[in-house]
Amino acid sequence: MSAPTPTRAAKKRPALLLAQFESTADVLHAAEKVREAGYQKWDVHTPFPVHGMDKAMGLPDSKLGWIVATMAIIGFCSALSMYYFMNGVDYAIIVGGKPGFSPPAAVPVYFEVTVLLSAFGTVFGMFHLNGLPRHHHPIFESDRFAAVTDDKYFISIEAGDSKFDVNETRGFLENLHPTHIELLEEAVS
Amino acid sequence: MASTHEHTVSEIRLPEGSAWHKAWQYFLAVGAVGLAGSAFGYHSDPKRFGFAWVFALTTVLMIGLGSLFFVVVQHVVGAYWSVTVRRIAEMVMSGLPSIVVLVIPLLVVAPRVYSWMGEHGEHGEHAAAATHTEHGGTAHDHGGTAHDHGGAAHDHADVSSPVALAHAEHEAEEALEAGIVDGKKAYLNKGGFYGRAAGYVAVWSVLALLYMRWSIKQDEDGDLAHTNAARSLAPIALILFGLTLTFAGIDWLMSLDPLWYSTIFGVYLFAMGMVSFFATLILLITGLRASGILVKEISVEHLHDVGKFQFGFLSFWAYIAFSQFFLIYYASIPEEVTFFHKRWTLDPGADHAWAKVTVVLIALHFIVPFIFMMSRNIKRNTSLLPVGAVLLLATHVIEVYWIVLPNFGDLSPALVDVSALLACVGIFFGVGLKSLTVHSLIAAKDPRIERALSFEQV
Repeated sequence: MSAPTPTRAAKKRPALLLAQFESTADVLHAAEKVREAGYQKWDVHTPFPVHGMDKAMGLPDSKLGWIVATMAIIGFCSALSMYYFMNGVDYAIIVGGKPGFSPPAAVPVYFEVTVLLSAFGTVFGMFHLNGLPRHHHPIFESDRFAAVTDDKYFISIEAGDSKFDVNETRGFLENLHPTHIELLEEAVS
Repeated sequence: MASTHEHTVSEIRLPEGSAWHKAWQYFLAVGAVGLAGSAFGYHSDPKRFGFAWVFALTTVLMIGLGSLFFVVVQHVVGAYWSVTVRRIAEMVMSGLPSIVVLVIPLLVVAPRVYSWMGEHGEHGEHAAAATHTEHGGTAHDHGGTAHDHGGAAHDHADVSSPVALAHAEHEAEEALEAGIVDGKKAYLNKGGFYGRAAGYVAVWSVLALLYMRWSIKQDEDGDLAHTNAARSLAPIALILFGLTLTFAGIDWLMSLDPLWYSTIFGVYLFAMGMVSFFATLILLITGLRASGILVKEISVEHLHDVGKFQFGFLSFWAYIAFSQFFLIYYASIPEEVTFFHKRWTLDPGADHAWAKVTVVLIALHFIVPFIFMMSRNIKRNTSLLPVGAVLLLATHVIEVYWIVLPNFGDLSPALVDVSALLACVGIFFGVGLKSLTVHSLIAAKDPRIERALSFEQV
């Protein structure tokens, strides 16, 4: 273990402010206030889905459906054209007295490829929309944050937000009456 | 008193004098007009009327059985979101006892509609008579050969004319068909048909009356015993439902062509019933909401779930309907392909009308509504979701017509079809809507009603 280079390790900048709440009602009302204050890069962390949270946070509908729909159409069309080329053009073979390219015969194939690409679209589209894969996030520096999987509720406002100011935002969060506020920093690379 | 439950939810009644309160009278009036038209149709052509009645009866029966299944399944799974919707479904279900009356014309005209009902079967008699009297010995002999080798008669040089040959083949085919139908006598016989019909109607009526009665009784006394009774019978009711639906489908629809069979037919009818029932349910809910009734009790959250059911069963229907087609198409066995051959005749010179109806069904019963109803926003939209429901109900009618009428002949819509449909729809929904006027619109004392009212999608 070599000692970290002193000049680099010392340099840190604020990454986000984390406010802890004790109940769903508290965090829901706090989320409404954060939305009203006009913050953009912020999130709520709860141990389970909270009814009405989407509305309180002002979250728009997920774009995932459009990604999946696009992938589904691509899957359907590519399966159809694959079958057309293989059995209709490249290697027409008569099975059961049907023409080489007989559309109903390969419906299971269209269906499966549609489902396959839709599933890829769902999983990888979700990854993309959530900013994954990502190996680390400064929020995990907080020891308190581990309780988010148990019985505590958190709101985080990121430093990347245009309205973010360490002191001002901290003051704003204090007005929401959290039980604890924590400033998390990240190393400047 | 231990089994009762504290309640804060109050009953909701249809406002007296409103259009909904009088709707059952309008429906019965329409039904009466339809009955008059049907009587006229029966008088002028009993056989054609018989096919029209099978079509009309099946159309409403599927909706009614869908509602019965829905109500029973809610008790099996102990669902809570659906409690506010359940009374509306029970209203559709309470139309089921009217089938006792609506089935009578079917039973009367059955011998004219179902060719297998003759003593030896119509096919058999006709073929036998034709072979022995109208044609000469040559044709008869070749008929016998064609019977075994399908088309072998072509090779015989001593046949005097192609016309005689064609006759011989035709006769051989009919004799073969008569033999097949004769082999099904153990099931396809008059006594069995009428006995089973009585059984189906009895099961549906008793189940509908029982489930309606428990629900209504609970409105009065709030006793949890009613919920327990409904739940205890539910699994048995589901088994009875599955058996009666399947065998009624075999008796009343599949045996229209006694040579044809499809082992998935019962499931296909079930899927059809669920799609048409949910379309009906959506129309009733959005219709009531448009009149300012049940707006809070059946929220967009509930409508969203009904919409999901509609979309899910639409996909299921497409899956089953296509599976039925697909296996028959792939195997290409003569006695199985007849069903789709009648409905997909593209031979030059033949009438292509049924093939066009098939295309309409694929496009408007599946592709368009499937894409239309996929979005979450549509399912939560009280004015767009019923548009999809109307489309699905219209195509449900076309689909049943497409199942029944090709057995009569070429596509030839007649006034008697409309009359029979009006009669069945009018009487069925007249009886059902009447129950809405005398009972609460929500099961106010159901133990799960509070949870149902506060239900939200996550």
